[in-house]
Amino acid sequence: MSTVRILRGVNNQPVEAALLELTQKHVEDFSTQWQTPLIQATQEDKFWDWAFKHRITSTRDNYEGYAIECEGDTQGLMMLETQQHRTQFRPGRRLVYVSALSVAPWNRQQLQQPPRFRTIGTALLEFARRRSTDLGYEGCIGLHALPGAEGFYERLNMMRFDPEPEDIIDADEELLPYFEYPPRR
Amino acid sequence: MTESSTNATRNQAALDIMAQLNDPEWVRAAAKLEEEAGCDISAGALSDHQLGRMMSDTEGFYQHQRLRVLVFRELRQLLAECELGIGLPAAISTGKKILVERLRAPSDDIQSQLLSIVSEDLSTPQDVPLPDEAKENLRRIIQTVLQAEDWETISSAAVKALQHNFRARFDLPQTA
Repeated sequence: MSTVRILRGVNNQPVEAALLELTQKHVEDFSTQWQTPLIQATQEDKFWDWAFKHRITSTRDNYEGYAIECEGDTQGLMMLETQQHRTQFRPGRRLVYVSALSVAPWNRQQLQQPPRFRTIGTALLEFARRRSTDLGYEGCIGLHALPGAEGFYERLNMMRFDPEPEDIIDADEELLPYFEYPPRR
Repeated sequence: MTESSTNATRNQAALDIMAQLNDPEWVRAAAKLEEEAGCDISAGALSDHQLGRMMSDTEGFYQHQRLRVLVFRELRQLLAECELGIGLPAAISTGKKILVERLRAPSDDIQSQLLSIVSEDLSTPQDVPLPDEAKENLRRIIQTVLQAEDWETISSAAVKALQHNFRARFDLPQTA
């Protein structure tokens, strides 16, 4: 377990949160606390199957699952793939691919103002870079931003990669912009 | 750099990230950035049904994905050589759809040729291009499975795109 700081939305005061490996509790929190508001707000990730993702991260060496917990509730969820993805900018080099990243509906500023907590997503993303560093990938990470999220990744100065049409192999990816963090210097 | 110094650098970088995650100044800057972006930050492309396919047959899944890349890339190259200009994207898009249909149940001979090409590709490093012979083979396959009417449909798509662009350029009424 690691401790990370996040901010309470109402007063911007730092709060300690726990960054943990994904467990059944987090999966249950998703279905009992997150899913209904996500469906009501027609969020893209409303039907993500975190139980299935949990099964994968528990049984496959190349998948890892993490969650941020604070005040007893799951505040953010992330799934990483660590072996099979390669950077688009340095041929042959591996990176950590963020297969899924999602924050609780009450932490999304477009759904709740002020959000209950801020910086959950950024903390998860930085932790993905830490895993990339641990694995010798120099902090490189890649991800596909869901619709409406690309502005955030552009602000982080992540590099955007738009594949050639013939390289698009999946209908979902066709609609999603791909971003990469270059190596940490 | 020795292995131990590489490990030390790596460990230090990991520690730096964790220190950063607990630095109140960094957290405030991160919050400001999220606030300014003012949007969702969710990420993830591989849908659960695809994950299921990959879990049940990892090797087959990657072969299939890679084969699609190789076939589409060669189709693009073939069409690019036809100098279709602004009609090229429409031709590629139409060609891809038809090709997927035509390759849904290929003959045994085509299947074995495709498998041999993808095996050759997967056995070489990612940044090494497909050997010329395999490339030629792939072209022959595309030209075999796409029938005369398919090429007509693809060229019509290119012509329509060109006409659409022409009408838009000169403010002419668009037709269906």
